[in-house]
Amino acid sequence: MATENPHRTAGIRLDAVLRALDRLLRHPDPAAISDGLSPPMARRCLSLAVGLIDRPGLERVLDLPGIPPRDVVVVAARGVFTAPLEWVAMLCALGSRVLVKAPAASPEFCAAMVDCFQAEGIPVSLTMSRQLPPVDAVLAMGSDSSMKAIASQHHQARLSLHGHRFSLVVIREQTMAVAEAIADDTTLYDGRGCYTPVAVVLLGSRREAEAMADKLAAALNRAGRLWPLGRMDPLLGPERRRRIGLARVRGRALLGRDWAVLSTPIRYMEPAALPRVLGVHAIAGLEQLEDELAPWARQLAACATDLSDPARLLEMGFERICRPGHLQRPPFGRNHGLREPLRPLMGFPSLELEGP
Amino acid sequence: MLASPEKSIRKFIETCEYDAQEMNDLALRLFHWQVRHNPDYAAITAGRRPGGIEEVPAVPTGLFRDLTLTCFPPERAAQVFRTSGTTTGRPGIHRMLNSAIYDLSATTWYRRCLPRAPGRHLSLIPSASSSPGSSLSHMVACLAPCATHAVSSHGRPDASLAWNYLRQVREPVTIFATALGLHHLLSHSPAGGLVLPTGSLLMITGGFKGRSLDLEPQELISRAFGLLGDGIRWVGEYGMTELSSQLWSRPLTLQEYGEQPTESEIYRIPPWLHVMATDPGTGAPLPPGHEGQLRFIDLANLHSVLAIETSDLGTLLDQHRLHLRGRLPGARCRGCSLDVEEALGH
Repeated sequence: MATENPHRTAGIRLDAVLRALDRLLRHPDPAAISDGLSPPMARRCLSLAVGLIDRPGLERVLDLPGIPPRDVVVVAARGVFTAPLEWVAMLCALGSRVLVKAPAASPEFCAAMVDCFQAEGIPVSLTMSRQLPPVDAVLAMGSDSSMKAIASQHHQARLSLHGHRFSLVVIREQTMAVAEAIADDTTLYDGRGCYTPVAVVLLGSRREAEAMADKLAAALNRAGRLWPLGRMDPLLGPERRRRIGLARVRGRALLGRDWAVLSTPIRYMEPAALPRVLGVHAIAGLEQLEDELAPWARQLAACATDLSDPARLLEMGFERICRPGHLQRPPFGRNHGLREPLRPLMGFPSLELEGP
Repeated sequence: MLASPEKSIRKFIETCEYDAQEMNDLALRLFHWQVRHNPDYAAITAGRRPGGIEEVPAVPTGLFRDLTLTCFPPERAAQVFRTSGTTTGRPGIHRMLNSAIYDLSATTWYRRCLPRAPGRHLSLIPSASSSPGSSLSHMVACLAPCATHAVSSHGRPDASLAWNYLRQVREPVTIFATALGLHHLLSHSPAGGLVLPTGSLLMITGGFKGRSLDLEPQELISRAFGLLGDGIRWVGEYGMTELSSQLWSRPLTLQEYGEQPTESEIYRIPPWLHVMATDPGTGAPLPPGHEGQLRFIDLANLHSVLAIETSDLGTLLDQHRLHLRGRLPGARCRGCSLDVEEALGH
């Protein structure tokens, strides 16, 4: 009986995944599947997300030790509309059957993604039901309370759950080029993801921070003309007004039509991003930053920095250290939450056949 | 030198008659006076000069956690009210130079809305002396200075003490309680409850939706009538630490409540309080009849900030009545986290 060459099968799978991604990239109306981004921004974000996934990256996934789950659910949350794409691509490359749980309020991207994978014969399906079938594994990102809920409902499945985190920029230089790069990180996805910087922390004086705030304002203004802000969740309005009010009293608020740069002492830093709202804080040294971040050490995602030695930032708990302008371009197959996100989904049976 | 509008406001409150023009004029006078004397508020307004009451810049209640917001040196505050701070770990603080206007506002509107409220009082809310930072305790002290407090040393309602008191009353009684306190009282009722004298009044505050315990108001109200007798009337109070004025619903008998249960969610607005429902995204006022984020212009907030942006949701039926809808749904926290009704039923 002829047996299928598993490597050849994997190769065929990778080809199919890449073709599915290409199909998705050619979607006629990315704005319609982006949960409210403007058309130029939606097109750019889709290109960025698809562009990060390549064949060498998918091949590295195949080298993961362990047995991939047969059936896996990927729970997609609202926000960065392309977020489930890399996980679905990797799991499909591994040969898992993937059920995508789409967010009920914005299922369009998940539906389009599933269509593209199905068109290439890849076993991916879509659900919007909150009642998930029994599966081998669940990969999900969302609020901490949601992750707890999933963990309690799927305690028998292998889980890779990722709760709320936030990112920062820590810099010493105050050049316009750095400001432009930070503005790009802030503008992409309209500030919806955990890689959106909540604030720029400047190692320097308050006056220097204010000078940087001016540059950031100019950069955000330019970015806003190129990449218009899409639909903003009205429920974010009250928090936006609160932060602006606070900055007007305790620091300085620079406001544009759809952006805000808010300079305040670092004790007012908020660990959650708002669309195109950037905090700016001056600090005397990294010790001060470490103290301020201590309550949130487990929620730190990425840090964009121009410092040459990232050791201190890694000690604080950041999972990614990159240069300004690269926050929203995480390398494919990276760790997530200081973990390999797929490893917890793999099975590791104990083989005990050696000996008599 | 801009004169304080205190005397005019005091007179306006004492008169207790709705006058849109005078309300508008007083609000603008108070705004200009506060901007002159309240540096935090002046910074927040960023030089904006309102042309009418609806343009008065509002301060989000959350800023009472971080800012002083007084028209006087804060160390001179004779009355300081604090929020619980359970959500953020930091309480909001409303400092008052004195409580004179607060007391006038509270008593004037209470008497106007509830002229037949029984003069015998039981309170399940801690006394003002044991809880000096609580605006609710202060309000009860204003309205019922001789109330009996059925509250444990930990500040929780003492159901046993309350039921003993209620067993002995022979005349109508006014009961002050939070929704949570009433829930506690009813959960520890004697078998079958008891029948309070007809005309007794049950005042509930603290809301039902989106709070620490999501209580179903219909269920709580029905249980109250069941366990305290159908001769009582139910009345709701709406207020908050950052405001100096309160709103009251119409007292309802069991029959009235049965016929129009939503009436318990409709609150009467005092003439010195201007209410707006606003678009939460833009902060722009919405026309009457539209549900929105609530904003108040409270002339009784004399020495702090007259315009307050709340996290509550409601519909302005007209300038005299507000349909309270509960809390503004929590805005999605940005991050990997986002909205997770998604997360399987939560």
